[in-house]
Amino acid sequence: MAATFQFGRDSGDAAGSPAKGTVRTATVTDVNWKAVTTEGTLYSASPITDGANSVENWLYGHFSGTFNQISAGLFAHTNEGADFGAGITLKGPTSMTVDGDNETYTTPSATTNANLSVNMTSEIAITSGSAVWFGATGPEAASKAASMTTNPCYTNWLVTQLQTSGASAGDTSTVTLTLRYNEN
Amino acid sequence: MKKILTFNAITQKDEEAVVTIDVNGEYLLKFEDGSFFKLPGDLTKKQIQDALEANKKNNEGQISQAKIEKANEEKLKNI
Repeated sequence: MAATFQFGRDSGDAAGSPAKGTVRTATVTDVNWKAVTTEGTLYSASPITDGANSVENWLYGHFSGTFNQISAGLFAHTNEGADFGAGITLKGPTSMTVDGDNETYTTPSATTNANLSVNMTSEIAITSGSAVWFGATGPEAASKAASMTTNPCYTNWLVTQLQTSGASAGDTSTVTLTLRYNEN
Repeated sequence: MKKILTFNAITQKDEEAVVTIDVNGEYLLKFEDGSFFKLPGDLTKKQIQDALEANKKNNEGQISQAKIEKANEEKLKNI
């Protein structure tokens, strides 16, 4: 038996304490940075105007199934040769070193999120990725730790934002965001 | 033209970046290689300093996948 993993995403207005999105989508296969937060809106219907940013994409990881422990999480943009192209910068979450490092969900906005200080524009070796921690209840919940035996469990927020300045029109290359973890 | 010495995550060096205010009123810091990052336009001087320090702290030492693959190729030449 093994753990079952899925990426999920919150969107919509911030609500509750700790804050989370009013919409939680449990199974996400594509990030698709865009100009609005509405889940289900195609990125092609909500393109980012050059000079603007995407709204933040509040991704997280979810573990269920059968496992004893999830640990050693790392998150990065990993695929070689598929950069976004000129005029685009991808910013992502900082490494978790204490529970308080987790981002606090805010209503997705195109304003630059200064907390996202990791530059993920070029492909990064996953061993050099941002450290990810795990916890019960949801990505927004406190008490994240480097390893977790609670089942189900969630990562901290894996929030990203695209910034543009002088970008060409049209789709970017497809890039891969990787979450690596150990399970036993 | 306003310039500032700050860390370029792509080249992994401290470099001069040209700082302008973009159409959205945010700080745009652009390096000679074309890479850039933005900071919110409402930050104070102290917050900007903190953000620039965080930029260096959180990106310095980042290893690209390309660098690892190049190193692996070199290792294989020894076989």
